[in-house]
This record gives sequence, structure tokens and C-alpha cells, in this order.
Amino acid sequence: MTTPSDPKPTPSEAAAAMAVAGERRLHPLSWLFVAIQQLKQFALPLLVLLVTGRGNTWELWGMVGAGGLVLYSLLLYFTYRFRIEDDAIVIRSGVLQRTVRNIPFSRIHNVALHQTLLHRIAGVAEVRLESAGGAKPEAEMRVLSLADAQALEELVRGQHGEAEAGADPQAGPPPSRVLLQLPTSEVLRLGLISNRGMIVLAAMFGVLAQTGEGFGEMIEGSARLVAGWVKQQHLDSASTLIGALVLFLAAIILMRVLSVVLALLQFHGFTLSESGRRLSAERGLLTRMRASLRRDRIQAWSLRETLLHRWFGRQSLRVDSANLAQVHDDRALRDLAPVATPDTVDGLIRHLLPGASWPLQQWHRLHPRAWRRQFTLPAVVTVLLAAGLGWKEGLPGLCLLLLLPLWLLRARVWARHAGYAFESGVIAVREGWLDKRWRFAEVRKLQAVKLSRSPLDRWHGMATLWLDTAGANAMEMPLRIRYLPLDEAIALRDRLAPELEAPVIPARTPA
Amino acid sequence: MTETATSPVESAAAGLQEGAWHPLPEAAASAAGLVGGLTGLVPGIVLAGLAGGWVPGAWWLRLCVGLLVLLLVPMSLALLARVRVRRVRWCLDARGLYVCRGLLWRHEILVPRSRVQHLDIERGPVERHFGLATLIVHTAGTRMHALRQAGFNDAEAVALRDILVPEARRHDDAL
Repeated sequence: MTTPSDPKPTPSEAAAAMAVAGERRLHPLSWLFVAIQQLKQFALPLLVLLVTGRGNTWELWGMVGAGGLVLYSLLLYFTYRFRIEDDAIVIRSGVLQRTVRNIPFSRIHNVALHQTLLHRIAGVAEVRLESAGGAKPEAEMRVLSLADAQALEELVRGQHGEAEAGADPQAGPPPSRVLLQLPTSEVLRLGLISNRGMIVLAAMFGVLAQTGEGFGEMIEGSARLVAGWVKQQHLDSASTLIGALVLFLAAIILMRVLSVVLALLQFHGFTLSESGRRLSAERGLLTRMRASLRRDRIQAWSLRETLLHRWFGRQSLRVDSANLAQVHDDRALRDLAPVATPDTVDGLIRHLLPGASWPLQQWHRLHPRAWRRQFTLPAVVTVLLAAGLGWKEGLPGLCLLLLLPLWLLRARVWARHAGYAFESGVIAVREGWLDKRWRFAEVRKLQAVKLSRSPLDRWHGMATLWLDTAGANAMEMPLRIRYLPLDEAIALRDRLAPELEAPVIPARTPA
Repeated sequence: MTETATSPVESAAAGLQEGAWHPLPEAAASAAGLVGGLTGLVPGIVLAGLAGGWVPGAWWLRLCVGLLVLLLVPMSLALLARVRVRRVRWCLDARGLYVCRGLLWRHEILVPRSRVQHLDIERGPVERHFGLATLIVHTAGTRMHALRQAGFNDAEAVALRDILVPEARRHDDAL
């Protein structure tokens, strides 16, 4: 075993030694770093204990806490073992709930070494093994001696080197080609379509509301002022109504202006270009942002067409990338086409997904009774609300029932649009009525498939097919097909399954 | 695919039959029942206290009601856990691992072999006592990034793990 006092072996020697040695432990000092890490988490409660502590008991409790932490850290140290095998690292951990974890080297994308000043003094490092898609690292080794850490890094790199050397032969940057460019008129349209203004306004209200009571008083004061002015003018009800409408319209216009300004700030001069396998986008009026993405790293696609999009004859296209760290990073390349005509969007998809003949032709409808599922819930809620209101307020409360035809219309339109398609290696779902969405992915990018049946599904003979991809945003429409007839769902699942297991498809596009 | 060619041999060694649906062992139901009963104790005590306080009548009547509730809550939870485990079916074939489970909401999950990122085997104290293990299959997905199934026989879980471990040289085609 390598200890810090040993003469430093070169990483490759250490890697070789590591591969032969059997089960290993972390660095003997690791309990100290675990304790420090834990202490950071408990710093606040401990501080509270310290400040609010009465008499001498807090000292005792502090001692007990510290002792417990050290004991816990020691336990972790003694139970955490790892072993290097031919093609995988095996980690055993846990005191009561014991875990054995197998991580094949081929699945480790990154070995991250982390050293604080304290780590450097002790000659150790924190090692994190990260694989694709995972939200948290696959293994966190706190801590290894620096030599061991570097050896591990070398070992993983070595396994990867062979695979990646051939994959990345690009000598110089290939010529880049512009795929989409947004002139200012398009960015203005984007502003009008998007609702960014509302988001900013909500955020502003939130911040102002946090600042204290002054904000509330200000709102109340201005409202009283307006009410007083209205009373002074002796307006009849019609003019009051008109006044309110004008105010409302003014608010909407203000919001749209704000949206346009924001869109200009964020998307001015948007250019999507392609150079080799890499897509990159540049945008921004004041701060220019440049983000890039390898096109084979695109996991799933979202196409959206809201009512406003339709009025302007536009659509938006976004993609998910495999890197989960980028999901919540707004600098990542997600908007392939913030706004573009349907033809442009179709062309873009055809270019980036050459195997698929987008737009897909064979769309299948859902279960014939799917509209009932969409209708029932809002209808039941409306009827209950109307019953409650009618009981309290009398007949006017029943006006709520007028919503029912609207829900019916919504459900029918929804069901007419909703569907799925599976052709040329692409699976696609579409949903929505006013706000139409398409979500699709290459079948070879799917990670897992789940067939779910809720009690209602079983009652109707339906099933839901969930398709999981990497890097999917939890806020967006999931890739799932609802309200499928059961036999169709099973058949589709069985058609998807063999393609999931298909061997690597060679790049279909010239790099 | 070399994996499908080799795995029947490996799995035969472990006594696994590919392509057939297997239930979980009887011990899994007992273990789940035990855990369910134990976790039911806390709400059981609380509910028993409430019921005993709420029922009017003599002290012995209250005691009886309290005891009844204390008995019924963990028992029903244990029963529920047993039924839940009995419903689980799993199957390993050339495509991957299928797991079928759920009482009211029924799920049939398929994790393809080529999508397995890494695997965990967990053994808690109760599971160790019954010779069971929990298998966790991790993928790179988001909503279903881990398929966790408790109640495998220890040997079964290890055999499944060894079969599902991704080949070293297989490239990450999905990412």
C-alpha cells in the first residue's frame, strides 16, 4: 500500500501496482476529512447550540457531537473499501446497509481530483468518478493519497485512451457553416411571442415584496389614489369598464415591450453554426454568449407551437444534451431555433437527424376514448366547484357550469392533435391544444422503457409508455405516450426493445 | 453481440433461466412483511393513543380499542408489503432486465443491457438475515435513472449483476 511517506512512484507504476493489489482502503487520514466535511454541514446547528447554550451543558453536548462525528467518520473509513478489477472498480461501503457498487471503467467519463489547501498539506486528494447523465458522481472517494488518486486517474484514462484516440482525429477546425441566423425582425417576433416580460415582472414583484412593508403600502396607496380619482370623475359604470380595459391593455402592451427588450438583450444576432460535428450558437446584445454542443450528444428534441407562435407562423426548437450539469445552466446550448418558420425548423431537423424523414408521416392516434380522460378531471372539478358556489351564492354560482363545453372542446381538440409516431429510428409524441408540443428522440438514445397502468388506465384498457432519455429537463414535457390502447402499447414496447439493444450505429453523417 | 452469446452459460451456472418470468423468493415476502410491520409500529402507536383517547367508555374498553389499533395498523402494513412483493415478477432475456410490479399502479420496466451504467447490490440487516439482496441498476436516464428492486436471493442478485455489468470495450453509444 502506498503511504504518503513512500518515495513517490510515477503514476503509471502506481496504476500498475493498484491494478494488482487486492482490496484497498482510503487514505488513513480520510476519517479526518470526512469529519471536517460533516462538521461543515453541522456548523450552523452547532453554532446555534453554542450561542443559545445555557450553563455548561452545551460544552458536554458539543463534545458528544464531535465524538460522534469522529466515530462515524472512523466507521466510514473502516467500512469503505475498493478494488480494481480488469475493467471495473468495485466499491464496498456501508455499516448496516451494505452496498457493493460495480462501475466499469468504460462508463466513467471523468475523474475529478479536488484539493483544498488542507488536502495539499496532507498530500491527499478528493476523487470523484463521474459518469454520463448521473445527477451526482458515481463515487466520491474522500480521500486518497495523491499518488493513488493520480494512479486511478491514469488507469481510467488509459482505458479510455484507446477508445477515444480513433474517435477524435480532427487535426484542424473544419470550416464552419451557418445553419440559422435570426435577423432583428425575427428577434422582435420572438419577444412578442415569448412571455419573458411576465417572468421578469413576477421576479421583480418577488424581490420588492421581500424588501418589507414599504412595498405593500406603496401598492395600497396607489390603488387608493386611482380609486379616489375614479370617484372624483363621477364616471358611470360603462366608462369605468372602458377605463379598466384600457389599463389592462396598457399592462399587456407594457409586458410585451419588456419581453421584446429582453429578447433583444438575449438573442440579438443569434447565429447557429456547424463546424464538423460541433454545433455552436452565438447570441446576445451586450454580453455575447457562445455555447457549443456535439451534435451526436443531442438526446431529445422539443418542438413547440403556442397560439402566438401560430399567429406569427413560427415554431421553436430546443434540445437536451447529455451533460446534466448543463441542464440548469442557461449558458448551455439548448435553443437550436428560438423562433423560426415551420419550414426552417423542419429543414434544421432534417439536417441534424438525417436518418429520420422529418416531418414524420405515420402519426398514430391514441385510444379512441382518450378525450374522455382529458375531459373528466376538469369537468369533475368544475362541477364540484359549481355545486359549492351554487349552494352558497344561489343560481349565479352555477354559471361556472358554462365552462363545461369549453372543457369538452379542449378535450376533443387535444385528442385530435395528440398522437405518436415511430419510424426511421425516431420515436415522437405530440400533445396540446392551444399550446402544441412535439417531443422526439432517436430510439438509440432511449435509456429505459416503462409501461405503466393506473387504475383508470386499467378501467379503460389503456396504458402509458414512458421513455427515458438522458439530460431531460424535469420542467418540460416528458417523452411519454399516454392513453394508448393496451395491446398497442405492448406491441410498441416490443418493437422498441430490440432497437434499444442494437449495436452502435456508425455515424451516418460525414463528420 | 458477444454478450448474449456468453450470458446463457454464465446464467446457467448461477441457476438463472433466461427468458422466463420469475417471482421473488418466499423469504422476500417475509422480509418485506417484517419491515412493513416494524415501520407500521410508529403510526400504530400514535393511532392507538388517539383511538384510546377518543373512544368513550370504561378504561378497559379504551385499552382494548388501543391494543386492537396497535395490532391492526402494523399487521395491515405488513400484509400490504407481502402482497406487493408477491406481485413482483422479473425476467432477464437477450434484451435486458424486465421488472413487473405494483398493486394499483402497475409498472413494467425494461432496462436494456446496453444502457446499464453501473450496478449496486445493497444488503440491509433484515435482508442479510433472510439471505436477500437489493439490486440497483443505474442508467444514464433522468426520471428512471435507477431501477431498484429489493428481495432477490443473494446469489440471484449477484448473478444478475455479473450478467448485466457492461462490457469493458462496449462504447457508450447512447451518449
